[in-house]
Amino acid sequence: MLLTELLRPNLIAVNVHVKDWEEAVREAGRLLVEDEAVEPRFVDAMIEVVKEFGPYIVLAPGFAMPHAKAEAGCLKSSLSLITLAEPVNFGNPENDPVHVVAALTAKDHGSHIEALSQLADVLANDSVVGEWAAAKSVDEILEIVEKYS
Amino acid sequence: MIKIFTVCPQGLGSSLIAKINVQKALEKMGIEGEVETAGVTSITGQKFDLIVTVPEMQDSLERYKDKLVFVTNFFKRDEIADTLEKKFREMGLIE
Repeated sequence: MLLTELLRPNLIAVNVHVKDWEEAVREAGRLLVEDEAVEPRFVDAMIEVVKEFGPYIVLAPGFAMPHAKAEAGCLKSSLSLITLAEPVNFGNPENDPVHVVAALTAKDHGSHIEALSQLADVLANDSVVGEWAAAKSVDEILEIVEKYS
Repeated sequence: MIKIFTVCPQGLGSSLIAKINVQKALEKMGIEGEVETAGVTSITGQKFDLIVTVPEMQDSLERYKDKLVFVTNFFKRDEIADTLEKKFREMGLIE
């Protein structure tokens, strides 16, 4: 499975307005729900994970990847990505503030490894999060993915 | 052969990103290793040399504290490689 099969155009939104981290996770989650990639309860589960374990999901400066277990209501492996109009803090001293939130749902441990490996390649470039944050359209987001893949 | 677990609360998202980048770091150093993802509970009773995880996991993994390596950015391959190299040296696994 390629990254672009996981991160489909209808799962991307730019310049989303949110007031805090929880709303940011909900907005990224909403795209997954609308795509019928997850059940609505999956979004609550992603928020619970952060509340229980802390903001470890902020994996790199400016980049958060909320996720929850498949049993929390995953219907098909998918990744949504939103860029925030105003960055929010998740409470992660090293990597706040967050500009880009990508919500991951995976049906099993195998199918999304290739796509995540590609995401890891893309995000190994320091400038990517900034470029995504500055993108003005969904196409631009995908072009940046292509450029670094 | 070094056995490494990458651990996050769920063993699914961030630990997988960590695994991918730890594997790349090992390749770069020319060290043979087996890297697997795990949740906090699934490593009980397993044999391993090292755990790569995030600072939030420190309390849950306290009993393995000599084998812990923390990373704050799972995407920085150079940083991961440097951190691992330092730890391997400390453990006497490399010269």
